[in-house]
Amino acid sequence: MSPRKTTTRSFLSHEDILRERLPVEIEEPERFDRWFEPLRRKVTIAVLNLHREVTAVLEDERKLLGAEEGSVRRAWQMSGADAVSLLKSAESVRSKLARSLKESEKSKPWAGRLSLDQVERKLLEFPDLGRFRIECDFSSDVQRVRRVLLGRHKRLLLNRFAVRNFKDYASDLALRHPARGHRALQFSVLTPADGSEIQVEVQLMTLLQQVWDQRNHPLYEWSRDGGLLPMPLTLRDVALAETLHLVDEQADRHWREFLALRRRKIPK
Amino acid sequence: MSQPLYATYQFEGSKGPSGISILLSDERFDLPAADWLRELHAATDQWSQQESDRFVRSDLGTGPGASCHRARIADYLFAGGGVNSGRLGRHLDMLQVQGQVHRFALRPGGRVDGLDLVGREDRLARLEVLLTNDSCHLRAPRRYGKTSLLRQLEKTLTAAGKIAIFVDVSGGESSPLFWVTLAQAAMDVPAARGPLLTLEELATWPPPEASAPDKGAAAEALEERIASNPASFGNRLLETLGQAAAVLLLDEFSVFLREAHQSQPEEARRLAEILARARTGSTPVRQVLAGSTGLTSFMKFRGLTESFADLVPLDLPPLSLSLARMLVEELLYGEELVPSPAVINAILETVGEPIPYFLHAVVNAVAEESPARALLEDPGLVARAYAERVLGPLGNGLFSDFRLRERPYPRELLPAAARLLREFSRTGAGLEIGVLRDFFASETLGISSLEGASLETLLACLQEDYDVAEENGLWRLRSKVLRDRWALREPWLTRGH
Repeated sequence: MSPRKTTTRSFLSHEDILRERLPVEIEEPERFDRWFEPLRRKVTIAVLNLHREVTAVLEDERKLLGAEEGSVRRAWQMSGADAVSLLKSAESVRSKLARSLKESEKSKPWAGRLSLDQVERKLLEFPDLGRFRIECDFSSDVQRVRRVLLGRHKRLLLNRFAVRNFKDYASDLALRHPARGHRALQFSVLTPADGSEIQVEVQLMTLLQQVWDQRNHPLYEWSRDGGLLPMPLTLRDVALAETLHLVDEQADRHWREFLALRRRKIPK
Repeated sequence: MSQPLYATYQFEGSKGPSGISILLSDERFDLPAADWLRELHAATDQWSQQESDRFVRSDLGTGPGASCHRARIADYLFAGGGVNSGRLGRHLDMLQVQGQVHRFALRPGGRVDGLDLVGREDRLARLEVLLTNDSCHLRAPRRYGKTSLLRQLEKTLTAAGKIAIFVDVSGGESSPLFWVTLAQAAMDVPAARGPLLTLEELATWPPPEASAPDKGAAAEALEERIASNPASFGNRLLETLGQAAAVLLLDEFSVFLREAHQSQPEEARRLAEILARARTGSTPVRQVLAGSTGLTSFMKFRGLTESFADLVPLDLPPLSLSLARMLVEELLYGEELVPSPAVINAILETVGEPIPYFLHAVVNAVAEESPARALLEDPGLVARAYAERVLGPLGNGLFSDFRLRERPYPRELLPAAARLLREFSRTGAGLEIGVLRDFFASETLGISSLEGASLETLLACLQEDYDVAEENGLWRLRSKVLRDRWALREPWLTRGH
């Protein structure tokens, strides 16, 4: 098979790209799944380890917060990025791989099929094979959790695990794409698991943003994969997302005002 | 408040997508969950490799997977915290084949059925095949699960559209009573009722939903009516059932025959002949006669062999060790107890020959001795539970079926029976027939009224009632539990008078 022109190849579907670039033995989805399973199991170990470490630290922090506020509240909870699973699905991994291959062909011409090792290396570069969310009551809780986990420098999680790709989608204007996704802080953590280093993505956001993302995710995926949304729909959706951000900010203010009020009323 | 995490394993079962989701936290264990996850991965890998095209996809989530059986990590741990991969593999097998995980019920003394009836699948299948052309003598000592098997067979045959009539005949020590008991059971089987209503004696029989007093009155009236010529009624009853292609499942037949023969030998002989003719006639009534191995010897010594020569013998053996281990595990986990391999081994050693009845009894004793949701690490617990709840007064109920004084042996034979059982309880290795003969002679010396009763007849009874068995020329009381309890020499149990 001879290389085609990049311009023509940009119209290829994900499945077409994968059929051309993956090793023959894993080009079919089911075979890919089987081949991917051992790596997937390493991801489960990595994400579980990290989840447990973070949980333990945040449990202590929750007690501290309770003592400071004089209140008992959950403050934050952890969940899978799609509400249940802490792993990227095999289908999602394939789709992301196709996007990544397509993207890389823009700078480097088509170079035939990859080897199994090359595919594995590519997958290990993914920042979110495993991932979990920490959903907080208020924006200030998000910042508190960030400080507890990453400190000031955002290079190490819990002073041990290397942090990559820290992104502040909540307030970094350069990263805000109004029509896409929630306002979150996210980063990946290089986590050792049985001889490999797996990147586990951690997302910090408010509960409101989490709910928004659950509702809005299909629209995000649609536009991410090049789908077009009518302008009025996009505008209204952006307005909704931004309104939720304001609601979060205001609710945080109210909560802090309330705490201050209560501190004044309750004699020590 | 920490987030629960589930390890999920999904695959394509025979009834569609299936899987298991295991909650990875339990306050009783202080171990890294990643170690569990590695071992769970290894166990599911091992299971998936048993069949080349099997593929198990793993997942980790904050909730269970869709269409997945939910379990807790303690369901697949030993008390020390290691993963019980054998049990997980077994449950994956169940999910693959049946689409669900069966929870075994602990029934110390009760009848087991359905999927709880383990280790009898081949016997059930064999019986089904055998009944197409033959009748059968289902042989096993007391408490081996004959009744459970017959009940299961009744369900299987009924589901296949056949008329299966289960009757416990142990109470009918006379010929008329036998026929009444059989008619009573048959009239409660809807498919058999229609044809039987054509018999004059049964034409006004109350319907199945009638009250117990009404049915009792009908039975009494029938017994009275056929008393002068029970054979005539028996013949017509069997002929009608034969025309309907019914199958008779006669439980406790050996007990009936022994008692009936003792009171009225000729009548018992005649009844045996009628049953035999019905099995071999032009419209045969297939029969399964459940009784001990000793029934064969009894027939031989009472000259009844000819009437039962056509029966195909089918033995119900003790469970295999691997099945017994499986059952012990399942019963303990079913009680929310987490055993160690040492505790499981201790139970198996305590039970000895894995007889289902005693196996349930010992597991029940361990469960009652343990605190709720306990981790059972100390095998000493088994010894304590066994001493307290099986060999101690709390276990009396388990042995009530074995009281010597309640056995219908001739009074003159009871001292000999007591002596033989006492000697059997002293040794698990067994005794030669010559030694037994000496014991028998010393206990029956000077008794003139034995009326031909011999050591052989007594042994036939002991086979039936006490699981005495001959193996490699040595006679022994096969059940270790029975030997242990008998060795206590408690008068209420071991004395014949």
